[in-house]
Amino acid sequence: MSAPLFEKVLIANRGEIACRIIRTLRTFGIGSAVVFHHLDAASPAVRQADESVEITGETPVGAYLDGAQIIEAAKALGAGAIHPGYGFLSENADFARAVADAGLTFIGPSADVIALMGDKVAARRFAAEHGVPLSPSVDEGEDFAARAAEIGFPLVIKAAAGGGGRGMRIVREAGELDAAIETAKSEATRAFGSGVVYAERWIDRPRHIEVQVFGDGAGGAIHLWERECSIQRRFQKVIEEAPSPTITDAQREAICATAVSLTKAANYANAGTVEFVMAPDGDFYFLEMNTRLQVEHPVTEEVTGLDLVEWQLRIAAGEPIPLAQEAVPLNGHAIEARIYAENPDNNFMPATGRLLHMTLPAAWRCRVDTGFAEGQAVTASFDPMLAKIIASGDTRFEAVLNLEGALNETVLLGVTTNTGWLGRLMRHPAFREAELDTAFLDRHADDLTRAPLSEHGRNVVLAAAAVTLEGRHGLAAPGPWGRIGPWRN
Amino acid sequence: MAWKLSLDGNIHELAFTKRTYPQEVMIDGRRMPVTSYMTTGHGFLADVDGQVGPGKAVRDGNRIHVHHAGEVWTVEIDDPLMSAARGTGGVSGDSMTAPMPGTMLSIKVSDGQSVREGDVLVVIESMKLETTVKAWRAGAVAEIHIAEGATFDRGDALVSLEPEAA
Repeated sequence: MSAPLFEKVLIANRGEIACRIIRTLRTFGIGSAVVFHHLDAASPAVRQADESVEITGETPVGAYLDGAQIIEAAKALGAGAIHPGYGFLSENADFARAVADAGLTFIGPSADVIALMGDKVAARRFAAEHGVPLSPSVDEGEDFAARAAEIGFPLVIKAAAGGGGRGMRIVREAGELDAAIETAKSEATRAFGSGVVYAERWIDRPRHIEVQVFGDGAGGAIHLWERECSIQRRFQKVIEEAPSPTITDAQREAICATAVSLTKAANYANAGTVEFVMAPDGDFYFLEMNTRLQVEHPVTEEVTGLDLVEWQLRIAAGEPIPLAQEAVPLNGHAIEARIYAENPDNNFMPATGRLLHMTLPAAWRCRVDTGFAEGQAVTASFDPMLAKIIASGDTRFEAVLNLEGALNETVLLGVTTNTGWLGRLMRHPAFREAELDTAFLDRHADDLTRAPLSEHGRNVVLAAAAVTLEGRHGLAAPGPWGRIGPWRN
Repeated sequence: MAWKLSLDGNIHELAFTKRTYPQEVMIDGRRMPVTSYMTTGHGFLADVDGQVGPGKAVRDGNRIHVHHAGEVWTVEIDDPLMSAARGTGGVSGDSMTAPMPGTMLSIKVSDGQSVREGDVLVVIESMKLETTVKAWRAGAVAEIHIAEGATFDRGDALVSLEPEAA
């Protein structure tokens, strides 16, 4: 048996992605360690890891952003590498550099590439220099508003250091421009510590298509096909699928080749995602490159049969990219639904509470990635994503049906979630016909509201409530035991 | 015992009229056969009026969350005291209350200032999202209840306008 890729890896993250990484570490006989804030002490990630270390911070999120403390923990536990997951420190160039300086392996690209792609303005310039198409844009500076207006309306104001939709404002007419710039700058300052923004042409009915890439750090790179992530609310993804059902084979070839050429030009190492916006005519423009594993990586795993975390570990350990481009499979279709603690019937407001009951689906061709367990509190301290349900099929239609079935089996009680709404989305004719763009949810909001209960449904719900109130003794059990009463031998 | 239960804003009366097999429940004066199979955990299977309705339910204080046909419905025990204490976000009377806990980012008006409907009063942040609170009607600002930088809870008053002249 060959030596493991690493003896021990520390995961600088929490929740479902920590659990996801532990699974691969275990498969390959690598020791797993996690850091945790005390709010997460009873979480599945801490229970599943071989070892865990408590970290502290002024806020719970602050603990997971404290790179120095996390590197100390890795050294104390003798972990040779750190996997940053997504979010938190995963795209922090200083952290990647500090990990390397401490003599540890950062499982991700080099600090320089993270810094390049993390500065959205520099990344766009780099992409343009290497022949990647960009939509017209204007950087901040003198007469910003006037120069931005020249792009034409609608346009979008974005944070240079941004991501996740924060510090982002669509401006439809000149009169809204100044106020939008002010709000975007203020939001960006508080979210990212930098108020630098830029303006970009807004494409109506755009689709969000992204390409999964892997680089070897020496100019070699391949893609693992694309994902369609056009179903978004507040610029944040809710449904992701692979492959994209809205592009032609020629468009697939072009967009994947463009992503690979950018990855090669950057001497990119490890996993990355090149995000594009695609116009109705099939033209596509570079949005940004995410220098980490994505939340939605499972759909790529399902259609390729590959373990992306395994690939990350192999490349970080100095192995070559495991497959040649021609050997990367693409079989069937996969769709991921993100289960959030939020109320779709009230503007997707985040919800908090205790998860009093949790039934996860055991449906056909369905995978569940979660970091939550029954009894756990859902607080405002962390991202409100509770689980990802990923369903596959030979065709997109089969995957939709499998996901709908899986969502019907998913029961989360005690905190409001979007599960029922996701089921309604799976049944929507326009979704089934793949009439997708990023305005889908706004356009079909009315169709996706919950229908009132039927009279029978109302009676079932009321009867269930009464049975619950009176406990097991509310109604006698049917069958022979029920008939003979409480007597047992 | 009989229960007064609120579902989707309507009050229903429910009582078990027969607890032995075959069981019977009365909902809003109408008797119907019910079979309930309590399984492990929070499961139940209720045949109501001859139709099967499998699901799960859990009690959460005064409320019962019921999963039925892919959706969760919340039934509340109707108790006049509880209903009075129930505070939610939105405009109630002359005040705007917070729908979510959050932070007061900036105050755009001062006490006594006249505002038109739609004028920005304050900017708040809840769950990392910045929201402007606009005047829901014209009037004079009576009070800004939360200082800049201070945090508030769900249901706290944010801004009050002077009562409208009769």
